[in-house]
Amino acid sequence: MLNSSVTEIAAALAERKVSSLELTQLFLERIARLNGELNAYITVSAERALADARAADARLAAGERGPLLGVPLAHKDIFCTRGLPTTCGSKMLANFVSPYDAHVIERFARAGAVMLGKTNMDEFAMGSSNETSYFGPVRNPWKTSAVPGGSSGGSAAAVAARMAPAATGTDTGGSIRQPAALSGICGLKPTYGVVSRYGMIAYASSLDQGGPMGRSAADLAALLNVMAGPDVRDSTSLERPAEDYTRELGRPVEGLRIGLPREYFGAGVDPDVAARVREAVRWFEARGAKTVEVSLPNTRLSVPCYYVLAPAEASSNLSRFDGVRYGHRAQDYADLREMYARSRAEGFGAEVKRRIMTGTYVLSARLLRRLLPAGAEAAPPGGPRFRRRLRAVRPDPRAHHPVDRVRAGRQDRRSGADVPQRHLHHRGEPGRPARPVDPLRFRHRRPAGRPADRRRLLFRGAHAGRGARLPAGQRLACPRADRDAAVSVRLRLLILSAACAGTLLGCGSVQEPAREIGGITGGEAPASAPAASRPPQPRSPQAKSGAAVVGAPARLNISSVCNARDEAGYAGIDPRRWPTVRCASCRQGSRCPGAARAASSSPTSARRATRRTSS
Amino acid sequence: MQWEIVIGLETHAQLATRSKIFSGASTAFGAAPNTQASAVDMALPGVLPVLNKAAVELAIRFGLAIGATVAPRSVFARKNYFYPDLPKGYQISQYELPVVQHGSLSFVSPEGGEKTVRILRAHLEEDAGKSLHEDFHGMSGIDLNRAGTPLLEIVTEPDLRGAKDAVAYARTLHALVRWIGICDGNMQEGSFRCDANVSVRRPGAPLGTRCEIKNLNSFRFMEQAIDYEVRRQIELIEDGGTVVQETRLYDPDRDETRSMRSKEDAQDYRYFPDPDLLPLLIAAADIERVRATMPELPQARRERFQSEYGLSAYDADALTGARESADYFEALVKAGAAEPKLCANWQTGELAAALKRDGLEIAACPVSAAALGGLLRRIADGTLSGKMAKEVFEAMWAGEGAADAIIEARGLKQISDSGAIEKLVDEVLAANARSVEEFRAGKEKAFNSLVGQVMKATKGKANPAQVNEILKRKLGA
Repeated sequence: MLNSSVTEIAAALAERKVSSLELTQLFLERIARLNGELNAYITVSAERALADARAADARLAAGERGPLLGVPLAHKDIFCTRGLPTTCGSKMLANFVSPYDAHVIERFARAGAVMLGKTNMDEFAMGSSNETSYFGPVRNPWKTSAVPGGSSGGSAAAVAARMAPAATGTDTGGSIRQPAALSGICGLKPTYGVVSRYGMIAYASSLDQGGPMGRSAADLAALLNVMAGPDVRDSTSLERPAEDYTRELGRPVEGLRIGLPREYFGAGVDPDVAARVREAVRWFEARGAKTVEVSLPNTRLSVPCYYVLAPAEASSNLSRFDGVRYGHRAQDYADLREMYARSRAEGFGAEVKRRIMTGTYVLSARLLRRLLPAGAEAAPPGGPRFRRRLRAVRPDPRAHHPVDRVRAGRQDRRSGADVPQRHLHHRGEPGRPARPVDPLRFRHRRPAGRPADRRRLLFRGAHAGRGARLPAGQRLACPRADRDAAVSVRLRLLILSAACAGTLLGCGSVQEPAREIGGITGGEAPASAPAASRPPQPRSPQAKSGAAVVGAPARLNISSVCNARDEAGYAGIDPRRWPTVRCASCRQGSRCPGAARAASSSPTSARRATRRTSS
Repeated sequence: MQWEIVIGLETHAQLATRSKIFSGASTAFGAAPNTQASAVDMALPGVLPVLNKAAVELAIRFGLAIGATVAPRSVFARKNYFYPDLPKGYQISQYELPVVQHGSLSFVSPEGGEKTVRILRAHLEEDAGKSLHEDFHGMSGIDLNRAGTPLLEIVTEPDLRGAKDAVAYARTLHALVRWIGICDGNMQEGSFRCDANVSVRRPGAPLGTRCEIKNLNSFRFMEQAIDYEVRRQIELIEDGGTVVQETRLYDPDRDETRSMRSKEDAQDYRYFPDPDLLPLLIAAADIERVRATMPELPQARRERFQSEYGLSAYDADALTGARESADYFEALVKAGAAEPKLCANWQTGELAAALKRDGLEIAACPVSAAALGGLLRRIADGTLSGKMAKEVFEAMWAGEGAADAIIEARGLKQISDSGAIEKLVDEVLAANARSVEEFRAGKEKAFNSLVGQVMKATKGKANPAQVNEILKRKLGA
């Protein structure tokens, strides 16, 4: 059962061949056995998992069926979970217990999934090796001296090591796709807005997106079906009809067109990785897919843009962690300013501080004036041209860099390891819809492309690769009509994100971990090979597609905003359930009279919750 | 040497929505600390703002009321700074693209005439919480009930030329926001707060260096603070000094402004568009929908009161100080009991005095327009003299019932029977021969004394007009 896919597990549960409780216990035992070595979980919620499992069994016994009913899952510790610690991999939130569930968590709960626990991650999702976690590095199950990638490294390792059938992750600049690649599983960064960010702790709001991590395209589709959908609590969530992401599974890849951006095969790509991408491309061609070389000349701007935009937003997003209301507060300080300084100095790790400093710097008035020419808004770099070319998406071998070795305890990694992942996020692709560089003039656009095209490319391609001995996966692109390039034929652009293709492929090539991990014997053996070239390269599906139309700017039309009724109590949690406000300059934490007073006027205690649930 | 005073005002008007601008928590004032702060208001990790449509509609109302452009596209931005009562570490506001742009407001200047102030912009933003520095023994308490309350920040151009004008503008603005129902205007609860930018210059010279004065939480303080600040700046310059750009706080106890922070200490707020909120697009149809619900505005009504009812500008202004007041007046006129002028006199006279005496708003007036109309009818038809009417009014105010019932019960009917009055006049003339002599000798006062005697004899019930007329006839005047 440990080696079964989500789909298989759901089928077994539906046929009552196994109970959710048995399954959950099986996974909990495996976690107990392996977590000491791999450190994939920060919190294991055994009690909650068993309760979830019993509830699911009851629903199953009552005749209810569902693709995730009773299936155990792990969640990245960036999603808020009511009653469980939500640490975001940081000392700052080491004792934080959320009073509410993230949208994604609610959705999985409604679908009857079982929550095994919260997985390790780079601190506040800043990193790509999982070494910046306050709770220690995660190890790659394929080779424990290697990193699993990051920031969703805990989820990747947990899935790879069969400590969970599938898991959630979040991706800002590669944080799902890259660890999935390095850990030999599949991962998908959905189009920005597909998955609600409500309850997902923000790193760079305009790029963050939650997504599924699993061992096959089919599993990703099953998870995404549950995660995706509009949410009135997230203004940036896309309003569009529900899709069935499993629909394209099993359909042929013949006729799909895959764009190969020249720039992605240029300097800086590991030759081993590039070779495997080409191999993957040939695999698709052999099955009837067409490939077209395209050019995305502004690709070179993507990384610099990322390192302006993401830290800028992060510096603001992380301001709320000030020790006033929750989270770490220094023990000793003379005044308010020092309370802030010490609490944040103690609570944040080096990489987080570095990005906050960078972001604060780039947002400073003096620098902004220098960075931004007047009228920058009118012509976002690469605007229309980039979008046109982008109608195809492309394999990006540069995303696949050799796996670093774990440097335990090293918290001050340089950001360089992140570099290769960024391009698409700044455009209309799975990342955030088109973004100018100008951090003062961000815009939100609806992603181009028809969902159906994306879906077709992604899942059909990915699923087709299942079982195939294709080497690494990469992002494959299916071009579409390029008016300005006067391409006479309408190119159907498939953007198979690597993941897609690759993942799919990847999934095929690495069905099992190579060496025995905790009693499971792997199928194929990547054992001695450099980890980098081995695991498949799940990349996110970058679906931009055929008849894609560049969307109109998303509107916050006043007739469609959520709180349209102006009714008190309409959104959010019952305020009385979270009365924890502590005094600004209090040295005594919860014993402070100010907090006590504030608390005495409300039903629950003002003491901040500090206990971790059982593990 | 002449100095010209230059003032611009920034006003924060709390919008009268039921829930907060980005969360569903209630905006009601006065609840126990932190009981009206939702997860969003407390800035828990992972929460996101969702714009309250009602706040946008109120902003549109304001834009329409001042003849401004309602921006088809405006953008929410983050203003970043640390303070314990600012839970997110940034305030969501609007920076480069505010929702309301370029309007104007006219007001009646105390120095005479109507003046117009250009309004540069009005933007939506959220309020912060409150830091409570007393009661906590060396610590501070934080109450986040107010955090997230919707505000409209209204910024004028530096068009005002004196403290009295500034106050007149602020009063007019205060009346307007209440008139169009976007703000309750309660200054004690902080629903309407003003900051003033003040500078002085020689006439014709470029603008001087300005100081921003905060904490002007009443109209009286505003005038005092500006007067003080103007004096301070003029004395400083005349003594050879220069004004430093800074933020100053008004201390009403000492009637002075004190430096709070200089421009050098000013924070860099690192504004950038909030990625959690989409640009706010307002369609023309949305604006038209709001326009359809707009009431007649104070200025239009003021003009109509003059043209339609023949009121003086003074009366029309007094009656349109609040929408309820203007509505009351029109209800009174529509009662059909008396001429508009009499209605206006009574509303701005007796009624206003009684309201002021009891500290009541006109909305809570114990005498309805219909009831007051009943009283005015008896004045118009000669049943009551002015003096008697005041007595009846007081009785009505005290809740003794309708005017006619009180007149009946108290026997206050005016004597308008000319035969009866003539008889009385004859008696008075006979008894006051001396006064008659004096009158005939040219002493006008003597006539009044005779009238007084007649009124006294009737306990004030005689119709004074008739008494006058008959007396004059009898005296051959």
